[in-house]
Amino acid sequence: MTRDPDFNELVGQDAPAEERERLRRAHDLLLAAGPIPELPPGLEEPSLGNRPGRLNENAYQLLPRRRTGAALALAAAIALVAFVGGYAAGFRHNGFAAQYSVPLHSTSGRAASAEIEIGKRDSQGNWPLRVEAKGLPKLMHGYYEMYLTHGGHKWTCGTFAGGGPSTVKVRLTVPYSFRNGDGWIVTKQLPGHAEPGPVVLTT
Amino acid sequence: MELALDLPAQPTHREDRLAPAERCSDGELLQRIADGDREAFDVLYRRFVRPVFALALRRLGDRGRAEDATQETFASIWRSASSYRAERGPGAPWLYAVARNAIVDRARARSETPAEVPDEASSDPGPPDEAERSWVTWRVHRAMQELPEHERPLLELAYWSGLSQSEIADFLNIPLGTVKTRTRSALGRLADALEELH
Repeated sequence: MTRDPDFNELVGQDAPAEERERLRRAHDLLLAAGPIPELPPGLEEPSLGNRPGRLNENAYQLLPRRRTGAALALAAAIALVAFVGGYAAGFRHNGFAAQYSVPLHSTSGRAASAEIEIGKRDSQGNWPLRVEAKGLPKLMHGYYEMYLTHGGHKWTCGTFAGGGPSTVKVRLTVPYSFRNGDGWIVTKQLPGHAEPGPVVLTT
Repeated sequence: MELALDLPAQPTHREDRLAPAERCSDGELLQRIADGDREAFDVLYRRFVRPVFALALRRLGDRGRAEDATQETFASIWRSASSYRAERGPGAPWLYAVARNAIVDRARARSETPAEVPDEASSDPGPPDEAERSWVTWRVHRAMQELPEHERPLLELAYWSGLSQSEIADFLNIPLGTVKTRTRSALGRLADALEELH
């Protein structure tokens, strides 16, 4: 349950009465409308997917979005990675058998960084990740979320809390692979906000 | 669900002198979609997918069904954009009607069992009130989508996440004064966009 915002805090006291009234109406409409729900992954992109041969060469089909989302995830999923900046020698660290590693750096000049280690895919198709992040601020609200990116697309790899003086060490698992990705980011997220928040770390 | 959609074999000869789709009004986009312009469809989709999904979710109460109704809405838009007539009004109400019809169709498809007649009159809003509220919500959500990227998150955090201005400044790592300035600016833009609702 979130509290309603204080109109006076939002617009201040110095606005002329007519302007305040105008802003007040927008304020009331926003409260009445309520939040926009998060989009399911299958609706994030329009997909008039080209499927030649079904009707004729110029026929396109609007793919079922939920299946399109799965297809995108699968498309992102085949093996490993041109952008992986680490190494592929295979090493063991704190009981985690890493095949690759990827460094991330801060977007704000802050002394924050992270390293993602990617383990070996299991027989079910799950890729284990080990993330070690340093220097992230401890959030008063929310948590961090890691995404694999490709162009404008983002695929979540999981969330974690923590930060402050201690190093965050978490293990995540994703059911898709990383060959088609072009980078990784870590964002700050608020509970209930599915849209990726501000990026704090990036490759 | 698979919906076959025919596109023209060749780009239309108008394409090289058309304005970028992002700058088009909703009605202009519909006219271009009627000519098979996929770029226009993509722009319209991005403008309206969240309001359509919100409307569907509100009416249907189920995310999967709302997603299906949203798909059907945009399939209908693609197929029937040529029936839009600019002289009858702007694009948003036409799109709202298409969305509402797709959602109603989806709701009807669910009702396999007859509803029981309630013993007492419901205090829920009746159809006209609900329709009015849905339209207002649609307009507000659509107007939010039009806000600049550096302003919209501030309203979302303030109104829908319950953060104070100081908390937003902390969360976004920007000065408190910037948060206040942008928030007021965003509210002003929203008020402009929603002027006709008053």
